[in-house]
Amino acid sequence: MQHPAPRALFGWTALALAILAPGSARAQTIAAAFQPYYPDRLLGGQNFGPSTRLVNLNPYGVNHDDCIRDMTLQYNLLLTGFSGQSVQVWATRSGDCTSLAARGSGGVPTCWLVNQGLTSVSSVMSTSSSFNVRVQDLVGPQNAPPNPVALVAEGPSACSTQSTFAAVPITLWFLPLDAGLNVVGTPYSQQINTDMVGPPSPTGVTKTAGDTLIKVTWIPNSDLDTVGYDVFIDPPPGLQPTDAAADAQLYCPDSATPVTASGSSGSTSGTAAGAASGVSTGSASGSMAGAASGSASGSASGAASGASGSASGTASGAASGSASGAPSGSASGAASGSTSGAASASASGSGATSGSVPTPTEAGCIYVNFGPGITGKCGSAVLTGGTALDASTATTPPVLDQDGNTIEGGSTTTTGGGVSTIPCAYGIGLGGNCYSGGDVTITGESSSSYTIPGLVNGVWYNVVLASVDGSGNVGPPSPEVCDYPAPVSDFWKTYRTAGGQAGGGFCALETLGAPAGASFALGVAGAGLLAAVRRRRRGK
Amino acid sequence: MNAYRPAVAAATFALALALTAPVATAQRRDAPFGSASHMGRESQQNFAAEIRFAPFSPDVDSDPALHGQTPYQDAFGSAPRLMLSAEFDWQALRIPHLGTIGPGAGAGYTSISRPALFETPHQPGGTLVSGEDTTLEIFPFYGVAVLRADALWRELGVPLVPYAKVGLGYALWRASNTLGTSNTGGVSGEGHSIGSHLAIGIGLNLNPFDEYAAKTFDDSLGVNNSYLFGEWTREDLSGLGLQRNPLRVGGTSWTFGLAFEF
Repeated sequence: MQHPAPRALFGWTALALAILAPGSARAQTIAAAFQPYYPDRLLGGQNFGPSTRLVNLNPYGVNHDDCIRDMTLQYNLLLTGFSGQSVQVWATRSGDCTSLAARGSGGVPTCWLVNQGLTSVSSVMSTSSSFNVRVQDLVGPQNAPPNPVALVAEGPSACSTQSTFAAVPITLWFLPLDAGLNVVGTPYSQQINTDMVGPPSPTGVTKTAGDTLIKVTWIPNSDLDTVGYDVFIDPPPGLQPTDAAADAQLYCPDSATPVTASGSSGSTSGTAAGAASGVSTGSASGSMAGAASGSASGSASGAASGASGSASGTASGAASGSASGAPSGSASGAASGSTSGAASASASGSGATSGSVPTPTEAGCIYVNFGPGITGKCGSAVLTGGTALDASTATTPPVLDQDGNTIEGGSTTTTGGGVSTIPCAYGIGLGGNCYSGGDVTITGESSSSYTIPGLVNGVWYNVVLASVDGSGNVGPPSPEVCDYPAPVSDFWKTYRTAGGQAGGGFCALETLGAPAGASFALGVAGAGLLAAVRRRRRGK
Repeated sequence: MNAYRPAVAAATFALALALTAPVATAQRRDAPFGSASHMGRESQQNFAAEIRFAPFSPDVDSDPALHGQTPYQDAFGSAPRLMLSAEFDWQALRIPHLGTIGPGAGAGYTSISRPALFETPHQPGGTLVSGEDTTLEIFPFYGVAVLRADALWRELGVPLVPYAKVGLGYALWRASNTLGTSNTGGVSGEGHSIGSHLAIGIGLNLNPFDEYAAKTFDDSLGVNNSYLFGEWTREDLSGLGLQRNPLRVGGTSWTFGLAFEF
């Protein structure tokens, strides 16, 4: 066993020599205080710590949202052994930045300056220094470092320079430099994954509707970037379009055409008018709805006609708003006609809230706000305009094995890239930070369908999908699809409507209303059998 | 009528008990395997198991409360669905010159699903087919007394074994749509139904077709006989008079499958 004294003496001697030695002979070192080290993230002067994303979404890298919000990465490093040297921060996609040639001196630069750093640093003992690197400065020159080399203050356009869907690793180099800009001592480097481009949108998006729901299906992506999909819908669940009532038409069972067409938005005089037409050769019945706006009272009138030639009549009624000064009201009533041609209708205004689909007065009917044309309600400026970048020439990088050999060649695609800019409030299950926080509507690249529940029957909804990559980037939206939920008759509804009395749950002892429970009876029988067996055994 | 069936079952079971020999394993042990008297080195036989497949349509629309309406057919059509089930029997007693008798229990599953229909034609196009599925799942269970008349095979060498089963049936069921269990008027679409279970079938013993394999099967796993069987099955889950207006998820079907005695 060695005595500790010689080793301590050696250490103190080495330290004394390091302090007393000439500057050029000391070892300049830049290092992190601990490993693994991740820089802090500054946004608007606020420090958000080392990560702002979920652990599965490239938490220590940067994505498009970080870039567009002008995030700054703050590195707090320890400088040791400096006596007048300088420190600069460089970035590169490949190789390193320690050679002068890589920094543009005597060659084409492969590195670009991201921080001028410090000059004339004097820190013999370890001293902590901060180096800020703007994300935009980090990713902007990745395809063409400036030549001659200079620190370029990049803008938001830097966030659109990436030409691949996959993340781009960029290495930061913190270089201790002498007066001739030669590297002296030990630099510090760190690689950071940058991803500015969302994956291409899914193709083959189709929709079907159900009762208070819309189901969207699509062809799953097959790229290496996608990890999930976001679903956006306009109007968002819980809201209705402001003109939902104005164009509502009433549909009833066994009718392919609207039984009653509502009037258009009422005039300022408070008059609502609409036409009602029957579709059966028998009696025609339906409701009439019209929006009256402006005044507190008015009248409603409309013409009703049956399918058979003689069935026509006039529907008329009075509509009155509920309160003076109310901005809008709706008038609704029932119109009925028969083959004899008699038709009558009455309408009364109720001052309903503007923007809601009316409630049908007839069972099984539904109001649908088609608008002027069937497709008049399809199309959302919010959804279709939600693309910040259409990287139509974006390429899929080749797949490499561990030795760097190409397994699968890369390809250029024209299906688009870029990122979505649709407000998060239109997303399903995304919360308020769908681009920075990493919420995803549905995870898994192989997912191919999603059901949006909680919708309002009769309201047209526009839906788009966007793919999400492993960095939390949301790609451009898919082509829009639209549909409206409507009541359906599933088996259970049909059965109960037909008079079936079963149901109520597995634990229900008996069909509702029955005096004795079948399960109870079976239990009694079983207990009796058990008792009989026991008596028989005792008898033996 | 419904209450009559359990009585018949009980009487049949009692009669069988009276006629049986006390030991079910009275077997001859001096004949070659696979022949009519093939129990030369045969292991003991106490149980039977079946894997069952049946095209099945429940009798939901037979409910008198529906007054002739056909909600099941309207929702799912008339095509039968596959019912998968399994059964385990204890051949507790052997009746000389007849066969075995004992209790058995079975369980199965079937699911019927189809797109639900809109109440009003959907625009544009006026289609009635919605994107929502409507589904009825049925989990049937039954307990039966099983009589297998294997005397034809064991004593005469005819590889046919007729059998009969009678007992009680019970089923859990659940009606659902895309959003989960259906609910109409505050009544959820799930519950249970009870009734009677009756089956008559015939099994074709496979041992004569490959005696060596049959012997190996017995030596290695203790399986005495393997059968292909066909069976007429009637499960009447109309409540047995104890349950009013149950969902009639029973039905009549032809069941086919494999059976093993061991």
